[in-house]
Amino acid sequence: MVDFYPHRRILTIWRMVAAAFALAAAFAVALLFGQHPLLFRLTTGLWVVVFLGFFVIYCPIKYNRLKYSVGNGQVLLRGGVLYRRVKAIPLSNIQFTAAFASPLHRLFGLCTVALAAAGGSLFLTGLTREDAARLEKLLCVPTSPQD
Amino acid sequence: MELRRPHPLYAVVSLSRYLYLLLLPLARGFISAWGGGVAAWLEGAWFDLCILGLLFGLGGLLWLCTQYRADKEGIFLTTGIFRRREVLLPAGKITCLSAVQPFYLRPFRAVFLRADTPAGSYKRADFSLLLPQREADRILALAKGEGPQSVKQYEPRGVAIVALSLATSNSFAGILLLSTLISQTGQLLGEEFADRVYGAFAQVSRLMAFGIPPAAAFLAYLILAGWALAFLGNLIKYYRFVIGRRESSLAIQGGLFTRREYALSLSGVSYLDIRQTVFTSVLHLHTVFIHAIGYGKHKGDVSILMPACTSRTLRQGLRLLLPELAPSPRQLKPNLGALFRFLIAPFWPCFLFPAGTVLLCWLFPTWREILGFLGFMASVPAYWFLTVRVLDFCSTGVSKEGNVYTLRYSSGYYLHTVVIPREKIASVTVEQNPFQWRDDRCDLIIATYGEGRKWHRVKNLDRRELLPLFQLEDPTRKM
Repeated sequence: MVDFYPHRRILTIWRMVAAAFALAAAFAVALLFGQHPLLFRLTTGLWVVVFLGFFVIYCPIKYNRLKYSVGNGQVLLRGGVLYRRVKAIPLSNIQFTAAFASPLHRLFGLCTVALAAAGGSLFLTGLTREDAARLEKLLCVPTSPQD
Repeated sequence: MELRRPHPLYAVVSLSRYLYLLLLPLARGFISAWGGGVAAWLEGAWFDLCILGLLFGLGGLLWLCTQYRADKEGIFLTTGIFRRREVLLPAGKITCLSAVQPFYLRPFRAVFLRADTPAGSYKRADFSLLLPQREADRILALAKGEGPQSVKQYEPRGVAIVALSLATSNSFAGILLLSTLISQTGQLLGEEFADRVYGAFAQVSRLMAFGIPPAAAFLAYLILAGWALAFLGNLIKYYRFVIGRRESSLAIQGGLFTRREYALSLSGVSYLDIRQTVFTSVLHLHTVFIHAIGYGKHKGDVSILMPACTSRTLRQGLRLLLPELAPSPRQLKPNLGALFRFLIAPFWPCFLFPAGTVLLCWLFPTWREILGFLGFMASVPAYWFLTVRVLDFCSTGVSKEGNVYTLRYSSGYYLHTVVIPREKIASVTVEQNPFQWRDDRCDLIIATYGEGRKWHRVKNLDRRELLPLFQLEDPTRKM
């Protein structure tokens, strides 16, 4: 069994996304409830709690639990925070793979590998280019990186 | 082998793709009726005749432009008037070949032949053509393979067919059919006819109410009539239902008014689904459905392998027809603590419907009779669902024998026993919600390989024992 782990930089990306949502929430709250002090405090407290929950608890746990494995004729994904999952797709069922990266992923040198199978799919996020290439070799299916 | 043409009736059958041309005479009819009345409409009737001529001409032209060849290599089809299309279905890729002959085609000895592969649309066949009967028989014989007529054969008894029809007849399908029949007849014979039929039905319901509110009796008799019609339809569909097993294929046939014959390649079989309702579970009866690529996907098609049979007949029948897919006894099952999880879904309707009925009766005392009846009728499915869930808890589980998995779970009002070979599993997901962390339980979700996606969910199994069963990761390490 060959194991792959997402790079630590994916945690930074998730935290940056959470911060972006928090910023949007801050603007929305200021716009909608700026004139109502009690509602403003309540909603501000709410988005701060949610943001801190994601930043400090959810994202690190998700990162620590995420693991990809190839072996025994299948590809496995282990992860999940509240709903913990192990998802497996037989290698023989994989029709093609694709690697894609958002601008944020490209900035940190990461990508997501999507495995398309008949009746299912798997998304392996937070992999470096080298890991994606190594995975591709193991699967013996060429990826088509989309830049 | 030379190219052949389909049955001449194909020219008529294929008209449906050009029916949009009839919009032109229809539009002309509206305009002339608006402007000049019948006389104006009659003046331009030549235009309507031209359109009809064009319609039939296109149908005939399509028949001329359509040719096919079917042999051991596969099926080749070339068709299309303006946009020519050539299709080749290699014999090795065809998973299901079906020949359907509705009663109205029998005098013309014409048969609809359809072929399916794992690719293509999951709603339509990959190949569909109207052929002469002897040609369809020849192609089906090719698909069934050479050798003895039938190696093994299973023919269910009439009682089993009746029991299957009793259990699976859908009231709403029957009501839909009945209403469509009355409405369409009403349009042909005048609305007065349709009104008379509905009025007579209401009168009979009033006479035979037997103390039940007439409106409720009308509804009950309507549902009963719908169910009876659906029951009759099912009986006719499974008339003389026979399954034969050859070396690498299954031959299935049956039907009274519409004769159906299928040649199913074993490689196209995704899984077996042995179904029970509460009613059939008490009587120890099972119905076996087979899920195969191309089989049972068209309206009116059957997907049954064995209609209502006892446990003994089920074992014998599966040994005869599909010994590769034998269900194995339960190895993993939910713990006692999972009972709450199984019963929580039906609990709320079982509580809310009676409570709601009592409240409404108190709020609207003049409507007490009808509300009471409706509340009772609404509660019955809820308690039925509760019974299903109790039976589900007692039977849910997973097992493995060789390379074949057996999953037992419930979905809606049915109890399923799914027998699936490992190579037909598209993906396996083991999911653990926060309430399952404490005793390390999980849900198993399996997606099966085939046209479209189908999931099977087995609840509350021991994670440590489940992971090695599917060769998934280190079972001692907690998720």
